[in-house]
Amino acid sequence: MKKKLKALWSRRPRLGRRGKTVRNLLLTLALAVFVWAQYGYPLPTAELEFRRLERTNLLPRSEIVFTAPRSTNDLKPKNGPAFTLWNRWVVGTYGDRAAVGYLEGKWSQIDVFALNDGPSPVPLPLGHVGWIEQVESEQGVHSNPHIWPSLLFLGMPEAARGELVLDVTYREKDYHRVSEGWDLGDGVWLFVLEPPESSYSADWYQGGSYALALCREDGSLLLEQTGTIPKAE
Amino acid sequence: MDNMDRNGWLHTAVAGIRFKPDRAAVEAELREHIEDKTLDLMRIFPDMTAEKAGERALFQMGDPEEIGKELAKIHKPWLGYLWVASKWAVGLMVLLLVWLGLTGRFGGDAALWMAWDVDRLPQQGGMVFQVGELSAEEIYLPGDDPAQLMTDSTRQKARVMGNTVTLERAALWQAYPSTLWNSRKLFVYLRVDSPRFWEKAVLREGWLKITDNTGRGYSFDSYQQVVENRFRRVEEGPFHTGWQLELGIREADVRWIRLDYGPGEPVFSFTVEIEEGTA
Repeated sequence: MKKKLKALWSRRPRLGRRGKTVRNLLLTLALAVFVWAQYGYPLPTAELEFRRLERTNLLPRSEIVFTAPRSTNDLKPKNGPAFTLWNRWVVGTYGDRAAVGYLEGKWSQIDVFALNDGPSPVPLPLGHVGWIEQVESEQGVHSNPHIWPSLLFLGMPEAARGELVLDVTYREKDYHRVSEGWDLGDGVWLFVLEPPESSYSADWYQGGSYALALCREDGSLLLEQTGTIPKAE
Repeated sequence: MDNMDRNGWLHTAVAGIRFKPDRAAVEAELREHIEDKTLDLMRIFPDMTAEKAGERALFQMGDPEEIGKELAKIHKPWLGYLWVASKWAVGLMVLLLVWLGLTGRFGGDAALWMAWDVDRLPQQGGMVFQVGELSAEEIYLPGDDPAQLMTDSTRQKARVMGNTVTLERAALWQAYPSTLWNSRKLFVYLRVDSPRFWEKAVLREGWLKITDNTGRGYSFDSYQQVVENRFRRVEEGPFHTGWQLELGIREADVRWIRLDYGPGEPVFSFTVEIEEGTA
């Protein structure tokens, strides 16, 4: 058997330099594809990753309304403090649905939420925001850092100020939260929500009821809306 | 022969070859050729001195500048550099693979892997309570087991977002012998094909809405079912994924099962006719 194998090996076609170069390049390409696969076939931009998530989940192509393209996104809204939104996010809308893409290589996921007519809440599961709250007290102004869960509102009209009141029962406990919204532009607002004291899941506030109030520059009421925070479908 | 002349001749002849390894190799070959010529001349003309033979050999080799132009045309530098680069590339890739292996990066479920789904059957089978664990062939292909009530291999296809979703096979089994429960189990094998190997489709249990002709809905809440309903991935290849639905059917008046898939409006729908006695 060994002799046969040796004879076969000695009869192999001898490649010239050109042939060896082509062989090496093909081998490199095959190995590169294999390595690419081990990392979950990463693509160069958040938009490309999101589009792929849509296709692999058999969702129609949406119109992208919000992108947080990097693993750490430092953002400055028109009417709020600078904040950090961690992880890559892309949100798109199609018909009466919003698709929220959480881009994390092999662990990427996409969730779909129903939209209302007009301003619509869209949860960001795992969407934590880091920001610094300036608190005034008798001793002066203190900086309180927070890392809180967040949700978006899409389709918002131009407004100077927005306030969200959330009531939700989670693990048999009632939570009441009030949050000032931050205008990110293009009708997208972000609200941060103080989380429960103990451990909580990414969807803890989904299904809760909300009241949204938007005010103009002069403080007059522009819009008032109530509803339910949608759950992922 | 004056070595300076020979070296000068060689230097001029190979000067046009920009890729250094090729230049050295060609120079060595030409040098050997000149030496062979010199020895031949000395053999043919025994009275000729070595110096004279060397000069004659160089003369017979020709104009080094002309030769240099021809050699430069043949030996393209970019081919040489590409050759070196390709060797480095393979070496680096191999090192990277070794590193990936050592850091435990290689993933995937080898048990589900199938390069090409030629048999249109999943890699994994399932359980029929009164029969036991069955392979995919035993479940979906017609057999002699009286508990096998129906097999269906008529394919239904849907094209969704560049993927092809196919209901490949269905089979109905009697899961419980008791007429009190009369519980049957439906197996359905779905396959999703995509030419883009970097985008393999994922089907989600939560987006699968199942109803029958009586309007009953089916859930995956195991506490509600006699036979546990399951939906899971049972095969994977470079261009496809395979999914199996296992559904408990309790009532005798079920004539068809409808599968609607998608959040909100379905992106594809299939209907499975329930016809006992077609195994």
